[in-house]
Amino acid sequence: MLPSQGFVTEESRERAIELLEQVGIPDPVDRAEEYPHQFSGGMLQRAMVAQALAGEPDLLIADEPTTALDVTIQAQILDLLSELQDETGMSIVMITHNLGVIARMCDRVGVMYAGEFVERGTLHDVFDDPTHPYTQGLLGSIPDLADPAPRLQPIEGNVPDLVAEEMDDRCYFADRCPKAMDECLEKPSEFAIDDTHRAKCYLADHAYDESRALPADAFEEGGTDE
Amino acid sequence: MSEPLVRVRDLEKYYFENDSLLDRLLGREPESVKAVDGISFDIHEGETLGLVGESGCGKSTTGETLLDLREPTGGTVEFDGEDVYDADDHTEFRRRAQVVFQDPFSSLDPRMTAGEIIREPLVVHDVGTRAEREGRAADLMDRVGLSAAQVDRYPHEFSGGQRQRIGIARALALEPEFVVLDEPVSALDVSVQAQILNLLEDLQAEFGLTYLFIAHDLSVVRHISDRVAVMYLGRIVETGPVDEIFEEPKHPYTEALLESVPRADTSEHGRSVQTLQGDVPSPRNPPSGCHFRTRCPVVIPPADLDIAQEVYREVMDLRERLEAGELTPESARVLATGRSKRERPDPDAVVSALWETVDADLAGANRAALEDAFECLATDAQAGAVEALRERFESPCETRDPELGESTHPAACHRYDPPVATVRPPTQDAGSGAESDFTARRPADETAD
Repeated sequence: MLPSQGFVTEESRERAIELLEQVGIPDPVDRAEEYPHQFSGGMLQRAMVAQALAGEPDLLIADEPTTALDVTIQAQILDLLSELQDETGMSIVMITHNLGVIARMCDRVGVMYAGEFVERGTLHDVFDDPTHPYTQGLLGSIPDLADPAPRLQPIEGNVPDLVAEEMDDRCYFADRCPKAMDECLEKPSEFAIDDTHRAKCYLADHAYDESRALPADAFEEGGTDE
Repeated sequence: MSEPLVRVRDLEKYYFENDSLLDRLLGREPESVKAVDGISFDIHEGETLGLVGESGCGKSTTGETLLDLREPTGGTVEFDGEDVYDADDHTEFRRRAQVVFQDPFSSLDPRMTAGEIIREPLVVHDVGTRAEREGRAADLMDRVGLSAAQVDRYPHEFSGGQRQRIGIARALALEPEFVVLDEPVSALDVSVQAQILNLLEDLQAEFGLTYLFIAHDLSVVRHISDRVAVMYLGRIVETGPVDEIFEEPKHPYTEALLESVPRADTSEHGRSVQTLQGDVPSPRNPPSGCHFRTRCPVVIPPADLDIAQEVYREVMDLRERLEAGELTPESARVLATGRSKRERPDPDAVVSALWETVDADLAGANRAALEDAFECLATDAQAGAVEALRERFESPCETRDPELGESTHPAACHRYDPPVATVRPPTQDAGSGAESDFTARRPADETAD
């Protein structure tokens, strides 16, 4: 529980109780004596946060911190993280596939595909002005709670298997991209759209040109995948 | 309206613990877990009913029990006018009602090829010749967006989304009319999830399928459902047309669920959410009356009690901890001394330590009731503390089960009870400090903001 500060037992016990209290666990004195299986999912996640806070970190990496939780508990944990950030001034790297969690929590966003950032910028850059077709696809494939679109716009195909597949020296998304062009067979560098917004896509540099569109079967080899 | 295709009435699925022969010989009372606790709903032909709720609320058990994959402990299910549980021969029902499971990894036999998996229902029901079945499997593969050339591949050779397509093809093999979709997209990436949702919609339009769509993801449910039923701890708390549920939710639980979902939109940034406190209680020992009352932000105070809603919520949380045995004379002593359970602090110190845990501003008789309870705790009288608070603060939500009405959009919540002309008994403690207002307050009056 206490990685860096080498407390003796009594002090560490008090510190543990203090941390449990800080993350909103009721009856922290009793709870500190309990084992993980005696905690509910939400309480367990709070305890994990307490554990991460024990060393008074400047940076907290939260890796899918709410993915296994129900929405009401997720909201509690997100609130807790925001409060703790306000209190301690720590930075948070929020790793998640949930775009709603990103929207609620993050100031800046990096979109990863096949091992690299394909787009990054402020929350507004990425959500209001997505440039990379992958980012656009992600945003288009989730149903909106407030405005149920009649038809979702999914990204065709699947994420490539980085171990099994030869990626060559092309844009890794080109095989699923609705706007792939001839130049995408060469790997794009990261283009700056403005001061804060960047994308690893030729569309960030010049407009789509249908006359250079790659044929639909450009990447087919043997088996058909989704 | 025409007769529903599926009519569920008072469906119950209880599990019993401590119910072995030994337990009985030792005279232990069997303990029931009410996974599904008397729910009723209809599903009409061609429609999608979405069933939502948090994990452990009984959604999947409902789906499995209504398909008779689990034996119900009570209630009836009628399918196309026939009683499912009473039928001598299940074959017909088993053909017409199918299921797609959540986990595309564990729900396919790893030793069977895609073709064999899809053909298996045909073999079981003895449909067609071998050649016909193979043709049908190839057609189905094609229909769900897989290549017929892949029939001889094994599940591990497919991605998660493709496996879910195989599961859907298997469910469609016998040309069913009704399919239970149990979290069919929860295990999939968002981009693949959208592909499967589109496929399910296309198949429904093409074959006129009726769906029970079970999911915890509210956005997905809104997208695909015609009507929605919201479950909490084994009961349906609200049901209605999808737009009404999402735009004019009635039950405080539905409101809280919708409020909790983070939307993928920049307006979401930093939105402060009125989060529900605590976890879903255990179905082993659900709260009396309205199951949601232990977390409900608008739990109804007794009619003659003058108290602000947030203060009442805090008092009710305190009562809950007291009645659940979390707040005990012992833990109160720990509060007073800092930690040691062995020390016997002065009762006054315990009472003031207990007051320090109370944020709310209480006055008059309300304050006196809490003071009573704290004094009881400080003198080891747990039962007295429970009684002192119950007497003053007991909510109608804990004494009466809310009924789910019969309208098109009912909610099982006492705030929607029809107004009752209650004649208030004369209060004995009038003038004891609390400014009780004597205007008859109906529970349905929304006093919270």
